[in-house]
Order: sequence, then structure tokens, then C-alpha cells
Amino acid sequence: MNNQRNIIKIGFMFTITFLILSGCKRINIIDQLQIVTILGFSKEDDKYIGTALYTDYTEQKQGKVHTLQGEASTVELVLDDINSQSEKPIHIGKLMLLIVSEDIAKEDMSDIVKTICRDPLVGTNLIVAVSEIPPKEILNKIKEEGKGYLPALIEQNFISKNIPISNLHIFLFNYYGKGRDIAVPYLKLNQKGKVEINEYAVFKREKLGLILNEKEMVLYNILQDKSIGGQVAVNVRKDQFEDLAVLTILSGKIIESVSNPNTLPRISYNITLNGMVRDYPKWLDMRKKENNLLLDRQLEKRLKEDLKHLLLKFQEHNVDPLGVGDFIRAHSEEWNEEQFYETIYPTITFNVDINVVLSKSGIKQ
Amino acid sequence: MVLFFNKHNKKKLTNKSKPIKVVFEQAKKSSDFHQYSPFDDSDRLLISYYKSMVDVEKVNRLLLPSIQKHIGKTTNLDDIKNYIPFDDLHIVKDGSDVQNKLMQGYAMIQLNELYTQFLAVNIENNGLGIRKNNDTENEFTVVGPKVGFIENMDVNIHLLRNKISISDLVIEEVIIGSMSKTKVAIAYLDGITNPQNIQTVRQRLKDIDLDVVFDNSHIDQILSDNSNTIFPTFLSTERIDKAVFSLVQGQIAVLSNGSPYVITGPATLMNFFITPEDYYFPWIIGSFFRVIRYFSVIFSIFATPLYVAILTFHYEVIPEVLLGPLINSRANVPFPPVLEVIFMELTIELLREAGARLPTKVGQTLGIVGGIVIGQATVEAALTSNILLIIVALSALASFTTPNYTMSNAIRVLRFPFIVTAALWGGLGIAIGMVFLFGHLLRLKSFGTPYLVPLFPFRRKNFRDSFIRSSFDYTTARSKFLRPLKIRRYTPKRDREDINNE
Repeated sequence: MNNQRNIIKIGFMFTITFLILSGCKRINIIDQLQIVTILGFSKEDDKYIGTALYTDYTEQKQGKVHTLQGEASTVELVLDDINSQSEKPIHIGKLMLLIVSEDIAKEDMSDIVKTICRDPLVGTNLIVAVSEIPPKEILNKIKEEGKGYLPALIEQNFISKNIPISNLHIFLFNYYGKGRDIAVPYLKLNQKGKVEINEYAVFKREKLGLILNEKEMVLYNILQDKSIGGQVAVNVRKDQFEDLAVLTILSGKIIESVSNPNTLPRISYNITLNGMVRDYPKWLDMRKKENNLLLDRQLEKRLKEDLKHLLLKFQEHNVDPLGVGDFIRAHSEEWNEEQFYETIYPTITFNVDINVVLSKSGIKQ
Repeated sequence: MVLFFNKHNKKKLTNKSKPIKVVFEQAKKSSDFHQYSPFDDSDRLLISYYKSMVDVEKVNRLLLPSIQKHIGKTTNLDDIKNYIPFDDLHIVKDGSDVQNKLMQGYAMIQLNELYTQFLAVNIENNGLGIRKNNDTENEFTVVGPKVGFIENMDVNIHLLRNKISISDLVIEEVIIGSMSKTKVAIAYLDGITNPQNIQTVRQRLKDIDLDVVFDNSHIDQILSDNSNTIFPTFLSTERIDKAVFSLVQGQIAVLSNGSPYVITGPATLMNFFITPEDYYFPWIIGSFFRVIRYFSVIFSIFATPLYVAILTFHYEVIPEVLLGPLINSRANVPFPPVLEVIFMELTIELLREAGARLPTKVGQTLGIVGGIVIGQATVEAALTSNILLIIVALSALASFTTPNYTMSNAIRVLRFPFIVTAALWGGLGIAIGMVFLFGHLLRLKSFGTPYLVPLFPFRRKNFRDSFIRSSFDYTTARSKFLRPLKIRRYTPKRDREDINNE
């Protein structure tokens, strides 16, 4: 009984001494931080230029957008340089968008991935993007507008327009995964001077491989099997008429299979698409059954051609955003990444079987 | 007032037998002690009593006339027994017995001043000075009876026996307290309650050595297994239906004279969140309120520590849309979040303590002053942020949803260590606090029953009446952790409702 009391007393003393240790942890009180939401990197004469965009909520409730620019020879020192110009410490824990300019992407992305993307405090819903023009111009443009809306723009497009989804989680999986390559959104300013996201950048390891245009982006989305949707414009021909019809894809399913994985692999995609055609040419009367069948078959034929074309394009540029290498690795006994991409990948034959199921309705959602 | 009591085997003060002369000399020092003879010569008969303890009406109307009428026939004390219209008569010889009985309101009749035999006549005046109104003040329900216990133990026992009208309800009385000589009663259902528990209660009550029993809650603290806990280990209630419900489940109730609260044990954590209203409403509604109660308790303990931890250490957790209002509200506050929170919490505790003691007329105005003016003024003076004000006000409200007052006190106090640990170590601090809290709760026992019963020694059958209250078709069995001797309470014979229910 007495012994127990002594133990409790000693335990108490220990606990109280821990209170003194409270000075060891640095506190980050939320209104004394500069929380950066967008970070942009570009390179000029061997030096990295970083632009940070943050919103200051202390003055007004809406928040005022500020940018800060720093330059240094490595990525980590850029953040230090930005810090030296700010009145509150810079924190990138809530970073939402990381823009990398095209020249860094063409050379070497690994520096930026090492420093920023692998920081444990950064959330995995960070969006990494490549931009055509230096990011500081884009960010200055946004500062003029007054709202840091750019991440919201990209996220909204993921959902409603069905651009292929990409965030840090998927990015790191593809970057470090064997047999996969990264693909990120490609930002640019359109003629009106507004930021637009219409294209997708596909990488080869850490260098920029190729840029997909709008239609190819939708096809890539279908092949990716994450959330199949989007709108494709397809050429439809009947007798002497030829015009565009727009297929709105509602949902879909894709089955990937491989045969003969070791020597001459043959990848087949079996795609089922449920969609409807809302915007069809005037000369095609949809009430007639034969026209429906015609439309269906033409859509299937065209999509099959376009998809095969895209896959061949990937093969040509030796990029692999779909993870074909990973898939084949799972089905074969010996697999070496270097060897695969040099010898086997160019010889793969792709086969696409597509079935479009049209649901007729006159009601627009 | 300092209480001296010893639970363990130390020598108890016993009253040795005193000579009668000493007893009467001591008694005569008080001016409300009367000793006289109804006849002229004091040699004949001597009556002694304490005027403040005795019902003087009955003495004047019943005792004196009957003695005066039949005095001729009286030769010894047994004769008096034949004609006095009183039921409780004893012959006492012992000095300390005489003293005890005088204090309880008995009148001593002595045939001759020198004789050492007394006839003790019970003329006690029980209800003197005790309120008759038995509305429950602190445990209010909208539907259901509003009767509660009062300070007089005989009335309480009467109310209990009204509700449980079988002779299986056994009520044993003991006297505790060397100065107060309070009657304390144990009530239990014979044949259902576990005899070991009853024996433990009896034993512990017998071992109590106290000078004055002020209230039943003293007995509560003495009887409990662990005196270093803030959680109540006995359910104390003022309502009759709650006490009866505990008895029926197989618990043991302890009543004491002079206290309107009845304590029942062994109690577990889930017992403290039960109100009678859960049973008076249909089971879905009752369960809904009970679930709200549990959530509000968790909210009340953890809301302010989470605010402190997140704003001080973990800004990454806050969603982007919430960042703006939070930063904006804290923009001009000069203190770190801990100091803000402690300041607001202490203000609310001050309001509560002051409000509990104010005379009623001043209380109203102070409520308005405290609540609205101080709150608004601190936000405008930028001493706190208005988001914190909402959180603190809501958690103060939420801590009042527990039906048991002792438990809501425990929850109020429990918030402060969590705030301190959250300020020191952030989210990890809250986890450390929870480890200590759970370590304490899991070891706590009430009469040998673990405190967290349906959760910790996981008993699935007991879940029917803990988080939700199932319909009466399913609550037919008593909880096993009390080890009752009979499990089944009643057998529902409702026709099964089916689709063709016509």
C-alpha cells in the first residue's frame, strides 16, 4: 500500500517534469502563419524561380491575395528566399496546387518531386500541373482578379467535365511505380487571357513526353477506368452527308487483358460505354430505328479507330501513362523495366473492342 | 466542519453504561428538558421528556389525562401499559438507553424518583420542521409523476412501499453517527438481489465511524470503492421512479433520514445517462434522446480541447473554406488560443458558481448581464474570437444534458485537464489525456462491478438498454452484471405484429 503510494508519487513527479518539456515543440498558431496555397516553379539560367500565392484573411473576411517571389539555386532555398520577404513564417502544409513550368518539365522534374512532393506535411490532394508559360505570369494574373481560385478551377473540371483525375496520391504512385508514367494537367492562357485547362501532359520518367489535346484527353480518360465520362465529338457519315455528333458518355466499364505476356504481348481492351447523343446532325432522324443502329455502329467504329490511334501514339513516344508495363509485369515471370521499355513495349499489339449502348431520351440532365 | 471518520479496523467509540443520575443531570442542563410530576407530591410519578422532541399535543391530550385518571390502579409500570393509548412502550433500565430514547422523543415515566425502572413512551414528533412539498426540484420530467423523496425517512419508506407492494422489499435500518444518530436504511428486493452485494453493504455500513451524517452523499463517498475519483460510483436520485427502477434491476438502495436523495448501487457509467422519460416515450424517441445525450457529453469534453489543439499546432487539418472565418475571427486577438479558452471557461464557471448562490431576484439580471453583455463585449474588445464563444457556450450547455448532477459536475471538471494537455502537446496531448482517462475508468469499480460494463467486459445482451432503449418486448431480462438471482422480469405476450395486421 505504501509502496503503491510511492510509485504514484514518483509517476506524478515525472509527469510534472514533462510540463517543462513543453518548450520543445514549436507552436504554429493559425493566425500567425502565411499559408501558401499555390506554388509555381520555373527555371532561368540555372536558377529556380519560385512564386508563392497566399491569401491574407486578417484584414477582411474575403481575404486578399498576395504573391511573393524568390530565387535560389535549389528548390529548398527558394522557399527560404520567399520566407525572407514575408512578415509571417511561410508554411506549405495546405498547398493545393503546384505549377511547374514547361522548361523544368522538359529537363528534369525530380528535384521538385523530391523536395515538395515528398514533404510529409503536404496533403495528398495536392494537384501538380505543368504550364506553358512561366507560372509567375499566371499567378500575377490571378492576383489581379483577386481570388485564389485556380485549384478550384481544376478540381471542378475533374468532376463535371471528366478530365482525368490527378492528385499527389496518384502522381506519386505513377512516379515511383515501375511500369507507369505520370500524366498531369497542362495549363495555359487562352486568347482572352484566362487560364484554361484543356490539355494533358504525359511524361516519360521525369521528362515531358507528349501533350494530349482535348479529344485525346477524353479518350485517355476512357482508357484509364477511373471515372469514365466526358463528351466526344465524332464524325458521322450517312450516304453523302458527313457531320459531327457529340456522344455524352454517362458511364462505362473497361476490361483489360493480356495474352502472351512474355514474348509478343497482345493487350486487349474490352470497353462498354453507356451514353447518349444529344447533339446530332439535322439530317439524321433519330426516330427511325435504322438511323439509331447506323449511329451506334459509326460511333463504335470511329471510337475504336481513335483509341487505337492514341495507343499507337503512346507507343511511338515510348510513354506509358496507362500502366501497361505494370500490367504485363503482373502477368509475366521475369520483367525488367529498362529492358521492357526498350525491347518489348514497341512491339505490343493493342486491340480495342468497344460497345456503345445508347440510351434515348429527350430530357437534358 | 471537519469530519473524523475511519473505515478500517480502528476502535470505535462505544457508549459505556452511565448511571441514571448522571444522565438526568446532563439533561437538566438544557432548558428544553422537562421533568415533573402531574400530581402534587413528586413521590408519586415522575415524567421526563425533551419538550422539543415530543409532540406536546399528544402529551397534553392523551398521556396526562389517562395517567391522572387511572393513577389509583397503578402499582407498577406494567399496569400503566394496560391503559395508556400508545403503542410503542418499553421498559428500560440502562442509563445510556434512557439517554438515547429521550433524544429520540420518548417520554420516561418513573413511578418513584428512586426507582431505576422506566417506562419509555414513544411520542416522537417526526414531521416537525420538514417540508411537506415533495416536488422534485432538480430532476424534472415533462410527463410522468413528479413526486420525489423528502427529508423524512418514514415518508420515503412509505412512498417506496407504495410502488413496490410486495413483502419481498426488505428495508433494514441501522443507526450511524455518534452524535447525529441518524437512521440509515438499506432497501433491497429479497430473492432477486445478489446476497453478496447486500452483505457488502451491511458490512461497510457497520464499519462506518462518523460523528454527524450531514447528508446521504457522505455515506456515498464512504461506501465507494475508490475515493480518488471524480466519477460518482453510486446513482443518487430524488425521484421515486428512478429509485424503484434500480431496485427492480437488482441494485441496493440506501436511504438516510434527513436527506431527500437516495443512493443506489452498484452503478455503472450507463446508469447515469438514463432518465425516466426514456421509458415514458416510445422507444425510438427515447433512444434518440439518449443518443443525443451521449454525443453531447463527448462534445462537451472534447470541443474546446480540439479547438486549442487544432489552432495551435495542426492548422493543416482545417478545410480551406473554414480557414477564412477562423483566421479572420482571431485576427486581432493578442492571446494564444489556450489563454483565450481558459479565460472564457473560467468566466463561465464564475457565472455558474455565482448564479448558484444568488438570491433569486438578482439572479435573473445577472444571467442576462453575464450571458449577453460579457460575451458580446469580450468579442468586441478583441479578447476572444466569436467562434470560440459559440463553442464554449455550446459545450457549457451540452454539459447540462446529463440527468445526474454529480455526473455533470464530473464532466465540467474533466474538460480542464484536456485543455491543458492539448495546449502542451496538441493532438498528441489529447490522446495522452484520453489514455489516462480510460486507464482510470477501466479500473474503476462500484461494489466490485466494473464501471464500464456493457463496453469493457463486453456483454452484448446488456446493450439493449444502454445506448438505445429497445422496446419493452426486448428488455425483459435484468442485466447480468448485477448477478441477480432471477433474470426474467416479465414475459411480454403481445401478438406479433404482422403485415395482415387487422
